Amino acid sequence: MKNEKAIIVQNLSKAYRIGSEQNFPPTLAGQLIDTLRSPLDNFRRIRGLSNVESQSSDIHWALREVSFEVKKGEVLGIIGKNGSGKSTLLKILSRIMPPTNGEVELYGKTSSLLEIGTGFHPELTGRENIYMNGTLLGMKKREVERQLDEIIDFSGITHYIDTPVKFYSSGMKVRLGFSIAAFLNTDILFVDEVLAVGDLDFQRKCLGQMDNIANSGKTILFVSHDMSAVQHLCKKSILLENGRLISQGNTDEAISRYVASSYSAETTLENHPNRKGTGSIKFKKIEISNSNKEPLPLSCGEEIVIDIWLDNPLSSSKPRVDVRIDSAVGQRLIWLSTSIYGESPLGADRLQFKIERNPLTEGQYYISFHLSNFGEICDWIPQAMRINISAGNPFGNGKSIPPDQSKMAIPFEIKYS
Amino acid sequence: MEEQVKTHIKAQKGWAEIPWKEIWDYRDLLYFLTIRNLKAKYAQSILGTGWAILQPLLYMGIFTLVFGKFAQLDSEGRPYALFTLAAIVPWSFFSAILSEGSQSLVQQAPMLSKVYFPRIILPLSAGLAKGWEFIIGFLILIFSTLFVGIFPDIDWLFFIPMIFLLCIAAFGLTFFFAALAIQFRDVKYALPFLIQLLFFASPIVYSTSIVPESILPLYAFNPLVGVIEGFRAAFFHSPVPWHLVIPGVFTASGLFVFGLLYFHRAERNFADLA
Repeated sequence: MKNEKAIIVQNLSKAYRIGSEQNFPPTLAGQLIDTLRSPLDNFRRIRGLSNVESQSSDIHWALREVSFEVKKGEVLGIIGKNGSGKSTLLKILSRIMPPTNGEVELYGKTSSLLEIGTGFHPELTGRENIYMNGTLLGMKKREVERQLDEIIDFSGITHYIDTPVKFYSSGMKVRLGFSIAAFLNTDILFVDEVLAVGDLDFQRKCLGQMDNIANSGKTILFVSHDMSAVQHLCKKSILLENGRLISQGNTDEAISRYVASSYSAETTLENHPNRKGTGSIKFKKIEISNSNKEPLPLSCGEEIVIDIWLDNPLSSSKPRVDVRIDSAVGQRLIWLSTSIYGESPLGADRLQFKIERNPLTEGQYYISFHLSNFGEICDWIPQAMRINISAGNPFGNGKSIPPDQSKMAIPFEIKYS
Repeated sequence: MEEQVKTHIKAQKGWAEIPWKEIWDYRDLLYFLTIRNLKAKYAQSILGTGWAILQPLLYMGIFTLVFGKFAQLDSEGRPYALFTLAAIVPWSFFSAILSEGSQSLVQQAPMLSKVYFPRIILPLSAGLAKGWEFIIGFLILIFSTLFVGIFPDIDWLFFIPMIFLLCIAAFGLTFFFAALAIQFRDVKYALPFLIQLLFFASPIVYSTSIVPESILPLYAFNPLVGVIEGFRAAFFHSPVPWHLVIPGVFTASGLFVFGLLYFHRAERNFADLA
């Protein structure tokens, strides 16, 4: 039967109680009373950890009314930012924790690949740990035995298989862990961020094995931050944001919505956590766009326009506005400043910085904005936005600079003689 | 067509049925976890299993010196060393199951939040791993009785229901405390006191004959009283003290049923609390 359902999720919600604030009485007598009373308070508090019925404010909804269905043999990607509820969803589906509301129906044997090497015991040998871990993941002893050779072979640590795991390098542990999980004999598999381990070679091998599992007709739910892996493995994806399911359908669609939401060119600057300065004049709105006046894509070799609106005109006598672009690891790469050109921005409340040919190569960058007067900082938003630059076509010949070679693409000439 | 497994997940409240089939399906995990606990225990130890031999003998020596020689406690006409050894062996098993099993969930907390399996496997395997030491202790006990000239006969088989009674009581308490310990770490500090209390509330160093007649019916509700006296009756060929065993059977069964149900009720929230 082709359109049989494997997973049906209906109105799934999960609430957590987050620690409520404790107040300490200021007096010694108060503290003494508090100490005597604390066992009772502690009891109430600990009891309350699993009780989320009351509608008080210290309840956080990690998952809210999520519903979706997965057909048999489908590979579904689950994407979203950190804290969007992906892992909570998988934990509920794999029955590690119960939902607060809602229902799930699973048709078939399930297993989860949540964290590699869970339950490894350092004193046991690799072989013994294969049995341990295999049965922990729901396999029978004879099922493990049947696949033992394949598992050992895949892990590539045949030589050390009878050595206690405590002598393994972390890479070897990861290899062994994935190898066990990769040969699980189940109908439905939950996978959480496991490919981001091991060296590149092993990652490629893992992805290949995931391909095999997917092609063998198993139903897979795949959580990852690695968009290329999701794109590669999953035809369909769901996108979670703050515990809600906001998009469901083709992976490409879900990914582009995800990317747009995380690297939104128009950010809300109000609540930026690291914002500093006197606040006499402030950045009101900032927009980043390409030559088509669209926020995406921003490409290497193409135009980038940064529009800045201020809440008040630059009325002071010596104002300065800087735009700084850092690499993902915090290295300053670009500095644009009104102090470079002689003309004073006095009186302006709108500025536009234009980079005609963006030299940044493919990758993520952070932009900071800085507004000062006579060296006094009025408004400073470090790493206010994250932008994603795509490879583009900086040399007009279809070639681009590999991002691991350089963060910068500059025009150059070669002469032969 | 193959049998289709169907799982239904929803929020549950209150007491629930025990999933016997699922626990049975994970029996191989129970086996490997038990082996793991055993191997891990004796790894990097010089004496290894030697400790399992030494421990009951050391206790026997100390108790015989302090309670047998100094305090001159009555041992019902038996050599005091043997009299107390017949109690030390089941007692050690009981207290080991209780202390190891109750901490098993807290110790394996990372596992609870990463992978699903019937949680009861953890306290069960921690307790069963202690079975190895019990077997060794039991062999010592048999050799000791042979050594003083008491020979086995059909009476000895009475130790089988007594071991069963011991396990029922020990695991019942263990399930309860293991589930409680995940939520309230106080259990870790309170448990040694409880075990100490049970030690003195059981006829390990003294004979039941010194317990006042008036509190004896109440005293016998401690299942260890029946287990220990049952052990002594079996090995020393004395009549089974049914008035001490029967109340213990009630307590032990009650503890087991309650422990199991409580554990299963609390089980679903372990990952949230661990």
